[in-house]
Amino acid sequence: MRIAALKTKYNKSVFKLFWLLITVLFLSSCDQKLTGILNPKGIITYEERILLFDSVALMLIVVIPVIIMSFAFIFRYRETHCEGDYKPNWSHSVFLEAFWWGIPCMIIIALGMLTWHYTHKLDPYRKIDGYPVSLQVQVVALPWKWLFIYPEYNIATVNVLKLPVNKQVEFFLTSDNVPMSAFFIPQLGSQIYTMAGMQTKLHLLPNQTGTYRGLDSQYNGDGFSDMHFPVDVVSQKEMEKWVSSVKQESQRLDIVNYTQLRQKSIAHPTTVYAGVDNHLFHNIMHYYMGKGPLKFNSANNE
Amino acid sequence: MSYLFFARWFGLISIILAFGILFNPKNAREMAKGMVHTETGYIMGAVLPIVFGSLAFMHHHAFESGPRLIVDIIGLSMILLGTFRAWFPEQWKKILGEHIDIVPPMFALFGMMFGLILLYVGFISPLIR
Amino acid sequence: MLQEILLGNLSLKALPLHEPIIIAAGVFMALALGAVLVGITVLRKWGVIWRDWVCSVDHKKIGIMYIVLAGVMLLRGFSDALLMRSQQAIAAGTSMGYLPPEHYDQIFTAHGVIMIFFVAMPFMVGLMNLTIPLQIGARDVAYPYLNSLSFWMTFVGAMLTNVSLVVGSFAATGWLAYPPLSGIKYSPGVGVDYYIWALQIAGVGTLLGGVNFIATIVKMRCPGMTLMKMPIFVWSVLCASILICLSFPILTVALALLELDRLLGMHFFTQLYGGNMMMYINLIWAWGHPEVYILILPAFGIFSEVVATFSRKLLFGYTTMVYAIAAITFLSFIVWLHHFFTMGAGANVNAFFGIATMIIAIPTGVKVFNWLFTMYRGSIRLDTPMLWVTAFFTTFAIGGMTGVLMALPPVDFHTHNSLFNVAHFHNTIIGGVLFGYFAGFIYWFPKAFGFYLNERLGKYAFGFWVAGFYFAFMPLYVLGLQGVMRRLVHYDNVAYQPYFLVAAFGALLILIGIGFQIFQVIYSVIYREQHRDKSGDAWNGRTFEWSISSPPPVYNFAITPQVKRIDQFWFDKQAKEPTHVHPEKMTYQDIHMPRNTSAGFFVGIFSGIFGFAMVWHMWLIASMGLLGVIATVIMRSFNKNTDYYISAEEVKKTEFAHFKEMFS
Repeated sequence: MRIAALKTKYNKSVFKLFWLLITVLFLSSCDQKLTGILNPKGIITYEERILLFDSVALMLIVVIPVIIMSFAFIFRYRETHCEGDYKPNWSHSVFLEAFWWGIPCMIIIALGMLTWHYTHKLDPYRKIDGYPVSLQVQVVALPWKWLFIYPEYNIATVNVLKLPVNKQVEFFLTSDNVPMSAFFIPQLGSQIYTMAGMQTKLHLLPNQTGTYRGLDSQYNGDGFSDMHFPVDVVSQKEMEKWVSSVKQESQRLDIVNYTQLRQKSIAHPTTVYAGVDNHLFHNIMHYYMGKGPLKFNSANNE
Repeated sequence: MSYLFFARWFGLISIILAFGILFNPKNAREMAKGMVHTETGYIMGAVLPIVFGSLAFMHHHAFESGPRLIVDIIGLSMILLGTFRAWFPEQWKKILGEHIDIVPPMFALFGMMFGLILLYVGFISPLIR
Repeated sequence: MLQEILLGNLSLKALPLHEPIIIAAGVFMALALGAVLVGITVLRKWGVIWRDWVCSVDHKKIGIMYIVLAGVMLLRGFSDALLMRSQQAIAAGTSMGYLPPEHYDQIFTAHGVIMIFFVAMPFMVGLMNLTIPLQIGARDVAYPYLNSLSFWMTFVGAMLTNVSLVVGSFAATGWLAYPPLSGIKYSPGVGVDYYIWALQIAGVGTLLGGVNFIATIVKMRCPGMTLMKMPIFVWSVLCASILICLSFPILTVALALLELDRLLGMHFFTQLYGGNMMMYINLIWAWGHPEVYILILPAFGIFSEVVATFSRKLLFGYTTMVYAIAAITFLSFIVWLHHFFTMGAGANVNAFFGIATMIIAIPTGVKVFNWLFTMYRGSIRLDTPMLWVTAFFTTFAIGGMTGVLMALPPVDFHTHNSLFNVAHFHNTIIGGVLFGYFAGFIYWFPKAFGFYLNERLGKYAFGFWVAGFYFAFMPLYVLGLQGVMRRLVHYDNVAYQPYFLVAAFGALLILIGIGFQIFQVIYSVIYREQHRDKSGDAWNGRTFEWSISSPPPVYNFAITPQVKRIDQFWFDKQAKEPTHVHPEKMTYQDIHMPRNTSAGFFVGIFSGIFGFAMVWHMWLIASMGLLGVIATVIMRSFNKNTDYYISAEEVKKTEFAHFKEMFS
């Protein structure tokens, strides 16, 4: 008896707390902008959001009736509510089975067609249709920071990425001296793993100026939570102004600076380099293939 | 009227009617059993799908993938269903007779499924495109 | 010199004396263990424990021990969960929380490893052990000694994981320990070695268990029970065991190659010298995906049993259910790549695996509909097992939906490694696997012990678990879609904190639910006379385990039952057939039984010594451990005294006692 009374009291306060939390959540999310796939700023995320919603809708066709039926049947056929239509040995109906094999099959066929089409269209390695590649960026995942090399401008940055709006950017990605990581700008496009000695590719097309968040999505050690960077999408003119201001800097990304850079550091400050050693990106990859001019001290047997 | 308008309108109708049947199973069953033996039942069963289906299908130009396709398919299937009922009433009467018990819940179920899809196509799909 | 040979890398430095939280946890574990040991000594139960439990080859006792192990490890795994939830609730913006990354990384790794390997798997194998021989009318499993061995190896794996908390550290790599992070360069400590050896030992135990159950189900069914007349739970266990036998070797190989990399400097998965980490990821997920189907199929089987029994109705579409289980078993082997769509396999490969993953949704959906229509026009009793089924329908439907959603590669490119992913697999594992095992636990508890678990406390536990689950994981879906990743020790956007607070609140509700479950067991044990089930048929059941006493006699069935149709026992009851004949009128025969043995326990202990020694490079002790295993196995093989007979009079006496109790 005491436990029952306690439960009711708990129930009431649980419910009040529940509504309070819902209100807080609602209010707090109302004046914050949504991030991630729910608020696309790039063409790839935009398409992916459509796919997300359409697939959920297709699946709700089955899921909502299932949930409603589960409550309806349990409520309707409970033993205290006996209505005389208890049929204990009825366990077979080709008619009904045809429905619940057939309709999920049709939905999966529809989803399958969507999958085939959009997996090909939105493949990270595939250039985005209808736009030429305007900019190439080489990305190197380092222990617990990101290095971005702009080969066409011969500059490099650490932990900041500037991109021109409405222009397709092609990324070439690898990693160095850090376990497998993954490059991800949720509001612009897909994520892709970065692995040492290997090159992965990504294509993005931002279509609104602003500052967005880029991050590492694959856990790779103690500094993982701080391995994020701002992504500034600016106009082409702004981009060119920024490039020429970077070229005024004194630091170059030569072998000495790079050897220092690839050491472990957490929450590395934003850095820019006014020049990059020739073929640095490829040399980093070739180091792991046992070729190329770079030599680093490997303390442990790699 | 555009396909969006149809989706919103018919989606709403479907959901409301489906819930009506779902929460009044006894009445629905009696009404269904009653309708099996009257002409009104058969005429409504054949005419209404043809009317609604053709309304849906009227804006069909070409089979392009996208939310329009859903409305086209629903419209087409309703036309086909109504046609079957209008042209082959004997067969339809036989099916109804055998499975009359399961017809009201099926109607509610399909109404709910169609209604949800159409509401999605009508209200949510334009928001994200 | 001697110290190096004997102790390898082990030294007092291995104790984490500078980490107060770990010290506290270690002390707590030691106190709990101490209390148990002292309690057993005071009650003078060492003889009973040794003879009747440690050396037991009785499937019922082994099943109970598995479930006890799962329950104890659930407390450890859930403490990790509470630590993670509280850390993430606090560590917003500039706050760093109270757990440093080095510690937090071990916590989420340990949480995953413990929950999958030492809670879900033992729970499942325990329920399988308890009921399968009873449901097929057999007297024990096909290899009782192997059964005992499997349990002790799993136990030792769990103990290695527990020891790693205080002696050394555990892996800080995530529960699957991807290289190169788990390679010797990035994880030079002993953590990953603990991980590897604990899982290798437990993995061998599980593999042998899979073999055992396939042999049992295929060869030991009672007369007349063809495959298509077995209870559906037996089908699901058969298919899960096939999955175990086909997939666990992959895990063994993957971990062995990783250990070769770490120990002998080989280059299977290293970044330099030709290694390729993608191979490990493929291997580990080629095991990992069948693993989750191994967990869910018996839960589906339990749902089939519970729904049919509590609706007092035949399971709808038995044949279709069997084909659906078989389809799921086959399909689970061709979907593993969906765990790493983002590794850059290309559109054709990604699309194939995406579509294959979606196809699994069809037989799963069919099963759900079959359960719903089993309830249709049934007469449903809403006891606690049926309540868990109710929660399962909604929860698993949502979890399955988000799974098919992530099976679309373009969507997965956003949700991979995010909290959406975390929410999805907790949704299916808690909503499907755990709810199913809880339902099975309450359903079969009266059979194992002869008294019910208290209904009211069970309902409270259920309420808090379900509410807690939704509070804890629905916010994670929202966060995942907003681009928040998993395994974060802190995050800079304060807008996310309300969601994490709600999730922490949910974890607290689950804590209360677990508290009620523990209280339920204790309360029911104390007041077991009020909860007694004298008939053996606690729920008006349909299958053979309900036709014998609770708890069953050691030989299960005095007379092996005959089967003419599915749910034979139920139909005999309906036809008012005499399901219990007075023992005076029956002729019994001597029953052949396997003798208890300590060999399984010693194999386990020696493999534990081997594992621990390998972690610390104590080569001498490791070889002694290995030799001990081999010696025990060989000695056991020369033991001719492995069976005994129960005389017909003994059987008659036992049956008579049960008969008297039933009808008194």
